[in-house]
Amino acid sequence: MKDMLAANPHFEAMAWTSGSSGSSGSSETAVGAKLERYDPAVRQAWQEGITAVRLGRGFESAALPVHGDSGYVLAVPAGEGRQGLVALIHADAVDEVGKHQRRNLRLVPYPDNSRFRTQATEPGKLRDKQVTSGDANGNASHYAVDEVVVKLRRQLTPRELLQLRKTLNLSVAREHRRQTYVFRSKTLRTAQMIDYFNKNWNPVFAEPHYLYLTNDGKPAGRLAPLGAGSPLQTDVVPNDTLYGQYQWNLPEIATESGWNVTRGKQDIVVAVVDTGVQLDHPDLKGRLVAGTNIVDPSAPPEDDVGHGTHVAGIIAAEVNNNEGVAGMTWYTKVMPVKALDNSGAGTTYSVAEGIIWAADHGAQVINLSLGNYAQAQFLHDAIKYAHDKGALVVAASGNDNTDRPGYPAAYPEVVAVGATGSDELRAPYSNYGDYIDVAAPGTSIASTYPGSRYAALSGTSMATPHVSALASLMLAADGSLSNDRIAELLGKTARDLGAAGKDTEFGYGQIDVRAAVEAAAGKSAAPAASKQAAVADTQNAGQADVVQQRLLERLQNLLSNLLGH
Amino acid sequence: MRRRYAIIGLLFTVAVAIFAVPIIVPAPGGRDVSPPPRQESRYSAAAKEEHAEKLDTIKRDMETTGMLCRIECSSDMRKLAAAASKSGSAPLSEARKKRS
Repeated sequence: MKDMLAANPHFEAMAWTSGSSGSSGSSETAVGAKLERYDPAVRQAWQEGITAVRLGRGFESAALPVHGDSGYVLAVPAGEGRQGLVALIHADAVDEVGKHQRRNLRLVPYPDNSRFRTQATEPGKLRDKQVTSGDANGNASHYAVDEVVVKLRRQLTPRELLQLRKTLNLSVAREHRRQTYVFRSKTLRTAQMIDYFNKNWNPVFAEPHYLYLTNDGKPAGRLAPLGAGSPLQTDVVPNDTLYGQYQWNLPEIATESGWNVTRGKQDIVVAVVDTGVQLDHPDLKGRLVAGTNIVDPSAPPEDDVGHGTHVAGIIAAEVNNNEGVAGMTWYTKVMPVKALDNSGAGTTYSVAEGIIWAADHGAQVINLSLGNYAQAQFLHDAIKYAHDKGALVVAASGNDNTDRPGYPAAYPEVVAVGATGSDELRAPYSNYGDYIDVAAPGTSIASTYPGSRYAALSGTSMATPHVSALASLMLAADGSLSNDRIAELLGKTARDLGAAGKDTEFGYGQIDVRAAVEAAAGKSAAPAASKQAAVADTQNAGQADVVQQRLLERLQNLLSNLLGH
Repeated sequence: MRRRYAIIGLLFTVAVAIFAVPIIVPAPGGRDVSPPPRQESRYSAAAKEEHAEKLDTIKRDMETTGMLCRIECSSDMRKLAAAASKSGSAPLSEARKKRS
């Protein structure tokens, strides 16, 4: 019980109780917080739990006041005797999810960040605009008002750097390969610094330092690993506790039947550039490779927000381990790259550096569940760098229900993902536009959460890792596929939703795991899961038959005339 | 002279009428000079609807998270209780023990 309490801080108190109710031989062994600290309703529920167990029954209380949030008492009987466990649980995850999602779905203005003075601008311009409500975030880009990102045409000498520091009263916040700098000034504002560098240095670019926000070992299972092409007659339904009732998203995109083709490979790595990951979450242990913390390089990439752990679980929560949730892959590894700080925001530099680090350390897929409405050349350069190294970059479109292109999703090298709900409609928050490539489930997605807990979150942030995970399965099916080919197959095999063909709401449609991994494995000669494409193919085939028949008839007539018949 | 004044007066009246009538009586399909609050209210209605939908999404996420917590905690407790029941002892012997 002590171990369980230590590993699960939301368990406030726990007791093992045995013996008949009211008998002199009953005993109670308790650990954790003392019940005297709690509301009388909690103590009463606790007693009801004890009584229930001693009567050989289970018990579950209604919501109770715990530390200003809510909690409840659970009691489970054990074995034949009148014994069992009673626990007081603090449901703090529920309130955390509420706060988290108000930010993730942009219902609150941009959160304060003590390390950056931030203002909102019209995207692409440096005209200040106040963001007073969450809705206004949809038309805003955010940048540090005292910083500038400059890429020079050559490396600076130490003397030149010193001269710059003195002239402009600058400090170097970050530096990349002695050519790209993030300068911070005590006296100048961003626009003034951009003006100075453009006039005096002819830089490759000088731009604001934008902030990007979250957009909103082997398994212990009984099934053997399955490589590409291995036959299996029936679909696998994982035994994970929350799977059947809450993970609507995996059957929705034909994941179970896709697992009959491949369940992934251990040497495929998806980088999650995000808020970090709970490194010892019981449902993620053994599925993580070494990552990095860009925000604080001296610390491990632990998640202090919750977003990255949730994203990682969608890709790689242990499948078929009788616990929590099932990820989309059985063996894919996740590389945690912490580029967003404890407010859920990260600068151009942090995100770009995270992408470059991931590409340099072998990530084949890079998941970016983050975005903003500003185009930053430094970020675009980082994406092009990762793309040129062969990584597939997948990004969330954003949660503002707008057609304004969000970045990095709208860059041409990136697979842009929109979100759908269980009704197969575009989620009401999901951004849309010409740049959307595919859609994936994004509403009420159950996954891992810090504190060894589980939570349901919604957002294009949650849709994106479905696509990243699928890309890793496709690579497991055929490791020689290029990033561009994977992107192409994702679109070709998507199930068409909404208007026929590619549209602004779903792109090519909602991803289809079975169709995509079959196409990747070369099992389907014409990967056209799209209903319209299939119909068009049939029609074309029919038309070809008619034309052929007519030509034959004409030839026969001609021959008959020539032969006089 | 008087006739000239009468003609000038008549022309002036006609000119005023030509300019004034379209302003007083808008032509069908012509420029709508009514103020734009209708558009604003339509926009704010859409914004309100989106806001309400997002709040609804968050409420569902919180409710589902609550259920996930209960199910997973209950499952963890059942596993611990089953293990303790098999071993035939309380899962924590060194814990403070109180006889009731």
